Amino acid sequence: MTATALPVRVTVNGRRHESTVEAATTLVDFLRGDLGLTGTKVGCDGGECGACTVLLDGVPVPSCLVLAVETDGRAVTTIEHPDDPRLGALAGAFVAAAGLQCGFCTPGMIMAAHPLPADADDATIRAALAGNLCRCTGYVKIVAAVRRAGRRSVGGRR
Amino acid sequence: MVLCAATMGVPATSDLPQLAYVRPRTVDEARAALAAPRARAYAGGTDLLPALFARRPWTERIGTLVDVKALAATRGIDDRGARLRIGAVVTAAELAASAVVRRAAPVLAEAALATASPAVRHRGTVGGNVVTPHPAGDVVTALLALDAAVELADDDGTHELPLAALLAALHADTWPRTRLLLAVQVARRPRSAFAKLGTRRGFGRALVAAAVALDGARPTVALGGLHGRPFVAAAVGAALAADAPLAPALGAECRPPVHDELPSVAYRLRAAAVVIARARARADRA
Repeated sequence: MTATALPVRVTVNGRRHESTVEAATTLVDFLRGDLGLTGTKVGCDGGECGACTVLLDGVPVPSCLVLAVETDGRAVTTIEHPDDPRLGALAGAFVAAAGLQCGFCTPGMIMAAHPLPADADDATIRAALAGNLCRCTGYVKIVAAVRRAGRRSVGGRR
Repeated sequence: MVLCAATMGVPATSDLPQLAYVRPRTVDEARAALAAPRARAYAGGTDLLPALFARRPWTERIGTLVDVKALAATRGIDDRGARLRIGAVVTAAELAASAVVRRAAPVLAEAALATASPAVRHRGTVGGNVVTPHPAGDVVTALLALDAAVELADDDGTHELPLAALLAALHADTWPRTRLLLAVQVARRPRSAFAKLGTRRGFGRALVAAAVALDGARPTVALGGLHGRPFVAAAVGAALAADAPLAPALGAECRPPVHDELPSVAYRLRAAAVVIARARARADRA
């Protein structure tokens, strides 16, 4: 059956949500508008800037290019997740390494870096962040922040 | 700019027209849904959604998205010996990570990895790259070098067509609306490689991309980014086989690029020779 308003049951940051969405609602608009999770930013509406990156079943996706209805039965993680240790380590490392200025790109950077192994080398980190643009500064401190988050989580486990 | 609206707290910026959405479970259901007026197949959405945001004129005919990602026939990578079958909704990320593809057709894994950005690669599909009329489809370029055929479902049942024939039909806009692309099949070519010159590593459109696949000593060369759609450059392949200079064949086979904001034809043809040589050298070593 074809419909313009559809039910969606999605787990966002560990919490289950049941609502009805318009088919033409993107995931980022659902997160920001319906759920009030405005940590995820909209930069370009074309997948080119990476600002809207979230995890869908653990995998980074551009949330401006996913329909909210497609997340039915799935799990979404955003920068607001309250108790994700990897997110906490990354956020702390971005602050400690001064890996941000205006902060607009930071949630996307952190979500894009999220799946990296803790011991990822710089080339691997840069490849993972290749789709994320920062317009304030450069990428040196951002890469350093991701490296630092990895070191901290490696150290924490031992 | 959209950026300003977002920073000012405006909630909805991704402005899509009114749409309906349906997610069929079988090929027959999908084809029935596609028969409805204003229906359009929807897979990764990485080209279709930005076109809808921008209200491109051709999107005026779209009122229903038929999500084809739940069809078993469009999923998975299947090793069939001399050929691989790759479902149409396999993503670029799945292609790049597939051990079978990396071993049997490395050019395809490399092209997938050269496409867009990591997050977009988790969405964009093989089938989408085939049917989107973009001059720089990296995956299509690799598929052409692998002598690809496509598997289609239409009113006459399921049948196969050479990829090049499908691209020509798409160009002529003679694609029946209820014809569904199920999969692509490619030749096993362990000695193959992809090289690309782009504007940005994370999202660069290929100024020129080359896919080289060796069948014994015979190279097949496909080029992307230059004009129209990616194409098999037979004369370039012959020149490569003969260790002859590539420039004459390139000049003969490459019509001038249509995108005038890109670097000059002369530059790109010179760059093409370099990119082809790089891919060839890596294919030789594979």
